[in-house]
Amino acid sequence: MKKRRYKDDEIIDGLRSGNDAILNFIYENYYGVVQKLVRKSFGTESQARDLFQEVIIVIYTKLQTGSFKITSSFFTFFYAVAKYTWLDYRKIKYKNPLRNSTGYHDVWQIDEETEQVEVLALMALRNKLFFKHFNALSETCQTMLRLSMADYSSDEIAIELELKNVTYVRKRRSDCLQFLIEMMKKDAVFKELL
Amino acid sequence: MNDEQEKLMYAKLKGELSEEQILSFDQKLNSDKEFRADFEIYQLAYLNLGDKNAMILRGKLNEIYSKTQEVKKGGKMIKMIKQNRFSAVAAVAAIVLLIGAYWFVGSSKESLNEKLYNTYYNQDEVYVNTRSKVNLDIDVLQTGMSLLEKKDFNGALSEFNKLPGSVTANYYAGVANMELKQHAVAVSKFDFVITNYLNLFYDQAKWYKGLCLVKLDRENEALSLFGEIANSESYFKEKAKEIVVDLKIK
Repeated sequence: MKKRRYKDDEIIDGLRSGNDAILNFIYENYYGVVQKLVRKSFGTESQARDLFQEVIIVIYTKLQTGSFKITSSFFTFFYAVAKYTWLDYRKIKYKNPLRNSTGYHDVWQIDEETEQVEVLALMALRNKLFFKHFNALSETCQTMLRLSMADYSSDEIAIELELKNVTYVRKRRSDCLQFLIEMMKKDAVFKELL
Repeated sequence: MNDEQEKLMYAKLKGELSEEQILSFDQKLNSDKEFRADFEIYQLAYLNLGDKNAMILRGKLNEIYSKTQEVKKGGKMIKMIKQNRFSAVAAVAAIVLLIGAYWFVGSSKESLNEKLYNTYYNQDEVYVNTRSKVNLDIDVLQTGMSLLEKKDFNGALSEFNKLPGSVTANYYAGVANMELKQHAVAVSKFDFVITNYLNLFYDQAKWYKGLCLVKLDRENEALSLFGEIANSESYFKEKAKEIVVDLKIK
């Protein structure tokens, strides 16, 4: 059976609403190029996976603001953000001045959109680093921070986690946040982004 | 970062600061490097974790990735066998040789199940669940947990075993049993915990029970349990999906 193709407008609308069919389509059609991009410069499968995810998330976040406008195809835009993010990461991590090499511009010629791509790439890179450290926290810490950032009070977190001691929740949550902040501050790549 | 600063950052991100407060906040951002770094990270946490829809999208993307990898692994195997029967025969021969070598070298080598177990096992950190506990029980639990933290697993067990009817004590006793490589005993402790769905340790106990079953080479039971976790809303849903794939292709 022939697989369904989607127009750019359909992809953008589908991504905006988190439509499963569109997400599957994007994955099937775009993940391979991200994988190739990462592997070409000796990156790992998990780096490819993170990169793909963060790029999708920043574009999704941008779509929610209503100020998303592109003149190129959605794929070109997606690939440009992925490539910028990856090259920025490598540049900082390996002190490799790829930004000035031709590698950056071979896929991206549309000047007016370059700024948008750069902003999103930086955002994707920051998010990638954030989740690298967030995912290394214990599950209790992750849950506490997730709930507290979703506006749950310490009392509500205590109920959610079936903990009686609210003072403990408050202290533990604060320790978790502090630990996360310290870990990120020690990250060499993140230091460069500050 | 202290509590006051966190409150200030939260108010800033929520747009709840007055003009004067914004001015002073921005001045601090420009003059205090540490404060700026703290704010950058706090902002990342707030924007990423506070956006429920983005978190749902992350979950969906992880799910798609796991599914695709599962299909790919299976697909590769079938393709390999179909494309080259000779390779398949050679692969079978290699497996037979490997099994032989395993028996020859002896049990000191890590088995595949052990490898899986070691890949997925992380000792849970200790924290006190004081729900419905009388003071005496809490004292015993706290002593046990403090011994567990110090890695005195036998000492911790003797404390936890004083409370045979406590879900918390049984759960941590199971964790101590795992550390002492008493996996069959650990299974019975976790079984006690998971008889009641409404407790804090339900997800963890199920997950650990599955790992114990892997370690005990009770693969079918492990597969069925991990399958159950993978289809639930458990914390370990994603990990369970991964281990199901690993167990199937093992």
